[in-house]
Amino acid sequence: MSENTVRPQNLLPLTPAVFHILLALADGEKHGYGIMQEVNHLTNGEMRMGPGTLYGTIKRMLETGFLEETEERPDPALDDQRRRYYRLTDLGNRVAQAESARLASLVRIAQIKRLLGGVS
Amino acid sequence: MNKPASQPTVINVSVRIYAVLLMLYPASYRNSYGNDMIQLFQDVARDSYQRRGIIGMLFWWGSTVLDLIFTAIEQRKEGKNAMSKAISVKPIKGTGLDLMCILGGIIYLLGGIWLLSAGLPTDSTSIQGTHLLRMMWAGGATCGLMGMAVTGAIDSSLTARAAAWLSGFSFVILGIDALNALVFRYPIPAYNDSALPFSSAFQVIPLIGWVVLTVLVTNGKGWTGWSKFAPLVMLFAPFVGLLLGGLLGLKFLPLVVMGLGLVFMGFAVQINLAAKRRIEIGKAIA
Repeated sequence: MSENTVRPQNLLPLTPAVFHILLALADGEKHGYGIMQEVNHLTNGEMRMGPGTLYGTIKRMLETGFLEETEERPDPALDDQRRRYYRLTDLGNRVAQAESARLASLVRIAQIKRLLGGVS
Repeated sequence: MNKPASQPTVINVSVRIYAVLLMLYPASYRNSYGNDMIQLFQDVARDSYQRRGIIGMLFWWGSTVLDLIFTAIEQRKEGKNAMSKAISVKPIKGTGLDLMCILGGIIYLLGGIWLLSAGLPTDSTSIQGTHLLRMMWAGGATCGLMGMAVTGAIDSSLTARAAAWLSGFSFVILGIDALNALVFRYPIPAYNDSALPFSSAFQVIPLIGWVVLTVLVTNGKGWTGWSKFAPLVMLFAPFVGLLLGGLLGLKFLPLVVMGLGLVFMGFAVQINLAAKRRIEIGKAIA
């Protein structure tokens, strides 16, 4: 099945681990530790994935076509060449957008029902 | 893998232990991601240690052990499914027993280290913790015994079966004893006291069965190589622990040594389950 023929909506909802990894990679390629640090930062330390969860999820995301390994390095001089870097594929990007839109619509509903602040 | 020379020993030792524990994952997964996982473990261990010292390391280890158990089971299931799709091989009976045995051993070992540093428990919560440890050991030993049975270490002779039943029955009673104490919060004054009558007998009876099993497995053909000595290691572990503990003045050292013995048994079960699976796959391909 080609990446372009897959409807991202058919792959939703995503697990928290998958969505957090997609978010962490949305602004560029990262290695495993970089992803973990970014997830930690984005969630204010509330979500901390262990090595097994992180690489198990990465393995599934590579198989599904959400991610790909990349040879590019943000700054080769500063980093260890032996680390593997990952980046979003086009499908991964579209799935991240679709999941973000789905969650945003849920948040709007929650605001209308006064479960969240911000909307009167 | 990065390993700065100035890295504290606790991190180096932790990384080595974690590298050994990766054996719990299927070989294909380990080959693909093992080095990355070790690198990640080391990176976070270093951060945790810099921020909160030993406490930080303990927290990191706690979350890592849970992560390891759940994801190792998950990857094994995925590996089995993939294998079953490629060739028709029935699942091997007993898969997971090795993992449970190793887990019981690790928890008992960590409990032993905790008691070595904290001393004789006096408050009820700590005493309850020791009952949990006993239950983990009994559960792990039962899984080790079952692993021996399904991988052919215990032959079909009457002596072997009787010894296995004797050991197994007593391990279960030990576990129930600990569970009883844990659930009903008996006012038990010390870590190894029992909640059931005659429990000391149940600590001797499995020993008799286990001695017989040790002789049979060590001299039998069911298990080969280093794994055939696993029952022997488990048999001698409490005595070696008591002897060393007495010499060094470390009351709870037997728990550490017994935990190590159980981990050894778990790896022996694992290697024999893997061998059995290879044989089954070979038959399916042939």
